[in-house]
Amino acid sequence: MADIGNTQAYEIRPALPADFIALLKPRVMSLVVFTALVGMLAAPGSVDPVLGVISIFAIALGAGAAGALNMWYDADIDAKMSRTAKRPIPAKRLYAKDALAFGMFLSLVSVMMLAASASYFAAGFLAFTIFFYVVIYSMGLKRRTPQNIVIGGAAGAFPPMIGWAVATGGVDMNAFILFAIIMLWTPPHFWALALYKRSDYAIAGIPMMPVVKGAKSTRVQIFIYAILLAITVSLPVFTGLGGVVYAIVATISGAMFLLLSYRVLSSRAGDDPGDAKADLYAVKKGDKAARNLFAFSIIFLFVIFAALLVEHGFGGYVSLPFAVFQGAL
Amino acid sequence: MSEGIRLTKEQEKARNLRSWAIAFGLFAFVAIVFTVTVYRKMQELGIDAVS
Repeated sequence: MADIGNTQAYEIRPALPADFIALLKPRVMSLVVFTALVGMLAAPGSVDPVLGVISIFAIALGAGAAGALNMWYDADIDAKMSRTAKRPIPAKRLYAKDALAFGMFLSLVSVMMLAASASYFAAGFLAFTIFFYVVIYSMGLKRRTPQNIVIGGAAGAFPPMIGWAVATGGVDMNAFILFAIIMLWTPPHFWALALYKRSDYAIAGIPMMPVVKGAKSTRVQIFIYAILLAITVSLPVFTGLGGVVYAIVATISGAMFLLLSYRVLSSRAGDDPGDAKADLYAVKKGDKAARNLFAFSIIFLFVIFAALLVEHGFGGYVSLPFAVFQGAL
Repeated sequence: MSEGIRLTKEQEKARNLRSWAIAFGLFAFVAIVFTVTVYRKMQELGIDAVS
């Protein structure tokens, strides 16, 4: 046994590297990496492959840093919700102050790294995204307004714009469309979850839409956002960002999203607060429509961006027939 | 004899793992900064990095 010569006692189980990795929210990080990569590849011009990989890595680190800072700030409410109670801080595997230091350090490193590999604009955008997620969303909106994830959704929607900025040094209309797709996708995605995990959010005191405005109002708003989303995902076809593969994928998945949202609208999902301890995908009979929409929404975002990745990342020839068609119009 | 905390086996193992993770992170950071610097310089000098 080692003698470390200090008097600070361990109050919790000693932290492992895996606990710090859990702070980075790896699943959210993978989505950020994916959408940022699509933004970078879909942008006009070319990126040096090595600098591109390093830039995506820097964006991933920045997303992880934001996740760590979010877990530091939200440790109290995470402990109250079944979905988040096993995170490192509420599960007493890490001190909150360690998560804060880790998050701040990674924020600095990621922004500096992106400044070196891409541009000051892209780095500034990443810094703003971390600030927006931690300060505007986590500290400001999340506990105060049912519009928390509507406005806060911007933080999750910025990564493809950052990827775009890595490739071009700025942003344009197509970058804004990618941003708008994620921004409009966020409310129906989280509200579908909140409909059948309503009591979980209520226990933690988070004013999610179903908790504040009720299930019926939430179902209506989900459907309205689904309509706006279905329109927005079609825009890349008209701006030339999306080709024939994208057009087919966007039409089918957009219609599916609308259909599932309509089923939520015509269901009684969320009317019964439900069991806070239930598994993420475990659901009562009346809430199945909401669970189905939540599950499909994850697939939806993936296939929409995957279609762009196929067209821009694996050869422009995939889009060629449609580009000819668009040129003929 | 100093008065300190004696680490348990579990604590000692966790500390070693953390030390390795920090060492790896520092090495990766230095490697990335070096790579970026070299690539940037090559771009400035008009040297094609891929060929």
